Amino acid sequence: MLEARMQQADVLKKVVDAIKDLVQDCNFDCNDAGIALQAMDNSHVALVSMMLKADAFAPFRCDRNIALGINLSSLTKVLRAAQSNDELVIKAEDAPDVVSLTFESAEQDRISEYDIKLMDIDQEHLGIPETDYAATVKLPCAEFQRICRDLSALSESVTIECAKDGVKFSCQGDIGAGSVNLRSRQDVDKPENDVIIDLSEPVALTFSLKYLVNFCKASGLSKHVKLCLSAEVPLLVQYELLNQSHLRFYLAPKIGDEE
Amino acid sequence: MSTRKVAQKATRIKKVAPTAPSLTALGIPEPATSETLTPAVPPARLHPPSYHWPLLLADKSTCDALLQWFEGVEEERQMPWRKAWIDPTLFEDQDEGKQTLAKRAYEVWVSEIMLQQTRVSTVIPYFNNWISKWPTVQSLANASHDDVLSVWKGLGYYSRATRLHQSAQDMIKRNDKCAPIPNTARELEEFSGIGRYTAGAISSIAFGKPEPVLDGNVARVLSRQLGLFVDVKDKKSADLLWEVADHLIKKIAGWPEIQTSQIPGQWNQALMELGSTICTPRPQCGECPVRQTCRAYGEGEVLLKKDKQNASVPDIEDACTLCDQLDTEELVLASADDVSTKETKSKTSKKRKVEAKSQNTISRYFTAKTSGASLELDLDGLDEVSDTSQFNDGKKRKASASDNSHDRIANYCSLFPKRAPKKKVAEEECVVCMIRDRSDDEKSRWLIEQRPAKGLLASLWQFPQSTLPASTSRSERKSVAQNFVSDLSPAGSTFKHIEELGSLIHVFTHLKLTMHVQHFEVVTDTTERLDSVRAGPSGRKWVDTEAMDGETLSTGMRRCWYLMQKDQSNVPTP
Repeated sequence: MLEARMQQADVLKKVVDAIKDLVQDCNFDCNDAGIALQAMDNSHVALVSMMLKADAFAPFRCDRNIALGINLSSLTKVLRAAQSNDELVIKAEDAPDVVSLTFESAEQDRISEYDIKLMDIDQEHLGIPETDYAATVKLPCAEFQRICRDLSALSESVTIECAKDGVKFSCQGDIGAGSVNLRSRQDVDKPENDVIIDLSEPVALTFSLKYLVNFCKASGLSKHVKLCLSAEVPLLVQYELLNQSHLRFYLAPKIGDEE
Repeated sequence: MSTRKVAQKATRIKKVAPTAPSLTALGIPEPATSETLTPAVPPARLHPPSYHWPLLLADKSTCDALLQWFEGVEEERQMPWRKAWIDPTLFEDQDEGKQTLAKRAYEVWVSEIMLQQTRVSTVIPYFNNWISKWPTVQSLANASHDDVLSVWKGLGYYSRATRLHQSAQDMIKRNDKCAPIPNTARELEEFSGIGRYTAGAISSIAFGKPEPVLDGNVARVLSRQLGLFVDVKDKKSADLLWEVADHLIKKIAGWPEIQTSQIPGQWNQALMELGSTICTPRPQCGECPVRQTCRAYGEGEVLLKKDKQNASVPDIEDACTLCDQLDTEELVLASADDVSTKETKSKTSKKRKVEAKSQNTISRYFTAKTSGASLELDLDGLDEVSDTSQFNDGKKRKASASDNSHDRIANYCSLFPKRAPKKKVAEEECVVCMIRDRSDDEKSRWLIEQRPAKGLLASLWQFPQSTLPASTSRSERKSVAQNFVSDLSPAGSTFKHIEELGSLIHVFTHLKLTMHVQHFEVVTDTTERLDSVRAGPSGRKWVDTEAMDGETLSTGMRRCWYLMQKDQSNVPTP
């Protein structure tokens, strides 16, 4: 039996919105630690990993490990019925055929309840090794989104170069080249503008902008996004959620030719 | 009897006697036909000496392609000295023909001298100015040396102007007034400032004689054509390339049956143009009209395909002794320069693609906990398009594959010719003393001196200057400058040090000169103004501020002068 109550339905709504273009169907793995999701996109270039810790729910109850195989476009349709301030209750039996979502609006005393049929998804689960990244860049989500959007107009790929004092996003395309430099900065009055670079050695890697633009759909979830890079390992793009929950994207670097 | 004569001539003038054995003597035997098309495989590049036999010699269509290509681009860069070849036999009046040809040869000569070490865009205005001022050898010979220098001012390497002037005078003295410029390379070389290259250029471009030229551009083209991995500045290699160039031009011009035609000039210019626009240090092989006969290009192709079938190892005793060993590090470096090709050339294009794709999937980094289908899927993806199109960049890579292969071959070609280790440019420091004499009517005059007639910036004017030991402090420089100018000041007056205005760095090809500009003012005890005294030894003079622009100062001095003027305009004089 699973029963998880979320203060704001909005969080799940945004998470699903952010990943539905990468992943069509996936398992939500529920256990006593919380609800987790891991899925690769079709071309196996990117991987999404979500973890909603038990603490993010009040109350949270999960007696046995269950995998809820859900089609994300169906889930999106249902979540559209929720308002952002609604409380969300997720419920499922121990060997479920359906998952039930309840939206409760405190002010209006309105309760709506939806069931989504579950699917059997044979999903491979990848072990993600703990990595000490050579560079970690924390920057405002909006800034990262803007960079990706602006550069994607020029090129399909972006090179991210981290140095001690700054990070450079640069691209070259048919019509020309572009780059954005961010210096590390700390703004006491507006910490949301901070750009923090934690670097053990300089690193430069190239990634597909199409994917990064896609990841940026998660921008509404958090003020900051964290980019973690090391030579020859996938980029980690991490959005921190409340209560140590997170949404992570991994993106394989491009190797070889790029224009 | 006649053979002996030829042989004698050959020892005296290398360029004559251009028959096959001379190349063989230099170590390149004519190959058997079967060998001609097997490129050496890098990085070992094992090949017999006959490998360097110029493929252009046997490939008329590629030669024609080069000439045709040059015809197409000839006028693109709008060089005023590029004109159609003048056939002297078309003139009815012999003297008129001679004169027209002499004028043309003179233009080629001037342009070639100006173009030495100088960019085309810089030369064009100077050339036009020069020709309008002195349209013929005769007029140049009559010009005064100062005039010649002042028109040359700003082009650098001033001895070129001096020699040009000198040779013009010599030609007029020695030769027929109608045709003062000799038409053979051998005679041309007798004049100062005309070397083998310039002689070949004048002789071939103006007079249509099959004489070779070899400049840096041509040497690069030939080194790649022949697959000769040598330092082309090395004497032995240069001799060899001259010989090859000579062979080529005589073959292409149809010599000795045809003595003069437009072909030699076109061919030489085509080679130079190719070297300066396409076969550049980092070439654009995709556009090259003669890549078919290019050994370096062929090797690049082999590298790309890793075509092992040709790897027949030649007998070590027959191996080429001319080429140096290709540095494998350079191979890697050549590709590392280019962001797009991080991997070394030694990987085949196909293998590269495979690697790029498989590494591009996340499952290569993160191991599957349950054995999944991903691995097989990847492998399926290697072979065909259906899967690759899903990779967002797979498609792109495919589309540009042909361009990429040219780029990668070009990267390989860029290794040729072998680079000589770079010499460190010498550094020197000096104090430039700008000495001002202010008269009562608020006019200023400055002391300048003429440099010696030989050497760097010969006969140009400069502000008095003295070399310094390395790394001096401001006060040390001041005392050196004071010592130096105290010798210059005439009796009854002293030069007072005002300040150091700043330091300018001027780079010559062989020298990096740091100039510390010192400002001096004249202080006189007497009110008497005696120019002769102040001018001191001959070669020094006082020049009014307004007249300074008319003096033949070198570019470095001019920069010092601007620095001073800027300073003066900032601080209005009391």
